[in-house]
Amino acid sequence: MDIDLSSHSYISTPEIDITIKLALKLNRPILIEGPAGTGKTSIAISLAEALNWSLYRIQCYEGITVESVIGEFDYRRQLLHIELERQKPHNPMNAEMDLENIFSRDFFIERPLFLSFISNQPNVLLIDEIDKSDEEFEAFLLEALGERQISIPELGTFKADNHDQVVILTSNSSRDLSEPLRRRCLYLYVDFPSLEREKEILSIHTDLPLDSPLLTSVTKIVQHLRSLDLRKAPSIAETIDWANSLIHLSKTQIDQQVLKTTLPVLLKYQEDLLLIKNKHSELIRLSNM
Amino acid sequence: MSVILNFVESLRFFGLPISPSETITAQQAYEYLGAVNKKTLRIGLKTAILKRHEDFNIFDTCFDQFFETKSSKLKEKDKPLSTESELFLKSVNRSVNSNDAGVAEFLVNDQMNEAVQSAMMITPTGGGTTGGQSSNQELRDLQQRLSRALYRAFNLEVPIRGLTPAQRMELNPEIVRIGFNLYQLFNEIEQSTRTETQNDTVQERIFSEKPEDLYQLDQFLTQDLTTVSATMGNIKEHLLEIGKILASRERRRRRQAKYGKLDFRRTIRKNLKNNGIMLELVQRHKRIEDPEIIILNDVSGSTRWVADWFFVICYTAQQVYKKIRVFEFDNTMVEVSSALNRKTIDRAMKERSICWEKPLRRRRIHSDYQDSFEDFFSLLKHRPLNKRTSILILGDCRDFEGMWRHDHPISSEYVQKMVNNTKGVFILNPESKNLWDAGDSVVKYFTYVGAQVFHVATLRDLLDFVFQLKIHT
Repeated sequence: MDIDLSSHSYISTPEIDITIKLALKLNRPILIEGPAGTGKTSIAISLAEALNWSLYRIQCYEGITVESVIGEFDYRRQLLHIELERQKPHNPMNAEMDLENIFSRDFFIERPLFLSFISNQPNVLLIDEIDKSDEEFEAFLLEALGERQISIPELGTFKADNHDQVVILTSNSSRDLSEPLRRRCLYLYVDFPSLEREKEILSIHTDLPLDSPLLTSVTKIVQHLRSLDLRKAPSIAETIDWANSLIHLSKTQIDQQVLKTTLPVLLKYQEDLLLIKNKHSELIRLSNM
Repeated sequence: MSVILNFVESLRFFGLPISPSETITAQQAYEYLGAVNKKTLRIGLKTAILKRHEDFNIFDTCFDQFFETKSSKLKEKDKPLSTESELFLKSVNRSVNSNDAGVAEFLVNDQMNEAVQSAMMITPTGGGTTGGQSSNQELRDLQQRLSRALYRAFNLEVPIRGLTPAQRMELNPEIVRIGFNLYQLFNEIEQSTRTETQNDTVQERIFSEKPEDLYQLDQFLTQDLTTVSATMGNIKEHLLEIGKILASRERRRRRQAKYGKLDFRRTIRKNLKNNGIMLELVQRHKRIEDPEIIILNDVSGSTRWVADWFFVICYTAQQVYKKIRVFEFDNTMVEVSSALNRKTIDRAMKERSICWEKPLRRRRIHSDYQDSFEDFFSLLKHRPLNKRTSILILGDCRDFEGMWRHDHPISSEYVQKMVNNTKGVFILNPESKNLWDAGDSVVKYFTYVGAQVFHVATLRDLLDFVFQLKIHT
């Protein structure tokens, strides 16, 4: 299956293409690691668009629980149901049956992981920023990723029979993920793009032609900034924002004044701005080379 | 299957933890992608086998070497070799004559010269597969000498197989290439002598050697600090691993500590929708500020041996405490907090040395708490102490060169100033308790002004103190 991510505003690399191919063929999840802002999440979104598959997204955070990704019983509905049953003439058999009934799928609020696993439609499941979740949640995912099944005590075990499913996990490495989780996934590291790839990305998102001097200058400056020991290197999204800011300001080239006034779009820490303060002329010179 | 198995085996030699399931995935990828396009195969195997980007360099070098060797072997049909000595010499000659300058240089440099000379001496007596005990013994000796030369030449503190991911990332590709070729070379020897060495394979003997203390980590942690070796080897990496576990435990504890008592009003309000049945409990949310911790590490001659270990613990502690500053002192004080930002502990240690290049006053090595604390307050000028800060001092309180005013050391006045302006001052003293207050020790003067002094007998005590609740609850 040939997948063209570029038709969905994503400039891919051979690494990304081959990993996706393998994931589809071997039916394995993909763990994508890399610095923030390098387009890890966008891979999943663009893939779902390119394949015309549904996208289920789980945004991880500290304290995320299993219930918030699989689902939970709607106790309000359960209570209402019990109240309704109370109005009916008393029958001991009914009471027992109701107790079983209220723990059926009718009373279960289904959440993304569950929906993705039971869906018959092809889909992409994105588990975003898995490193932000706790170890307990990560351990829970082992069953889902390894055996492709979910166990809910009241409802039983649900096995994903749908082979048209890609599970993508992303991580910024703010916490080291466990070896068992890593072992169950194909691994993809997405670093900051090369100069040429970044130019292509910018060209798509800003409508500037590839040979535009502004595009070249922006890319060269950003690439140089990333090589410095900054607290936070500029991401691709910030680069696009910067290029768009320059376009809105009707600038066709970057001079010291423009750089000074627009640099906060790229750098988000005062210490980084101070570090660059004496290097403006050097950056301008580099951009014109 | 043998291609992938051999390739995986060569990667494992560098310490990459590759499980059988990953080998199976790699085999499936190999069958699916085919071996025609090398670039595609490289990416496919990389994504199937590797789980950390730190291992990319090793993988790429090994991939190039492995698949190059494999294709060249297919072209040249070597005639079967009769003796292990002949095989060894042939391998050495091939390496020396090949374009592999790194291996050639390694094989003929001073450290290796003796070993290669020994190999040459085996030839006349070489008994081959039926060669008897003596030649096998010589071969084993040779392999051991090669092993020792390998570590010396590469200046490695630990064997390649014992490196951590961060250390593997730092490994020079040239070393990987040489190591890979030597591994292949030994592998060839093993192939020819398998009958004699199958229970004691060359790779096992040469590359799995680990310093004994690596196996004795637990014992090391509970050993009396005064007898702990200053040689860190790979133990610092293991200490970091332990720190990670403790940090994770501490984070969980702090998360749970955020939940306070039951909030009745909000619980009742929330459960109105459930007909007043208390299905959802609402707890008060406690606001817990990140503790600010300042660590003062005594690196003077008398505590130097434990200061390095404490620095490693500080490096680990930043996983829990975001607001941590580390200073080191002997007769002057420098801030080494910038070293904590380095990605690996080795880099942090280097950065720490750089921080010492410009001390506020000339170093005299002997401890002077008075001058050091004076420097500490001048370094703090822009960020004064506050009541959220805890100060942790690791030192033996031996104020060797400090001055006295009337009946107390001047350094105790600075400690009092710290106590008055912070949440607390905690002194961790590694010295045996019966030596406290003897000679130049000023422990009691520091306790008089409000500092709390604890005896830390082992590295485990130090770890526990930093990671557990004593400072910030």
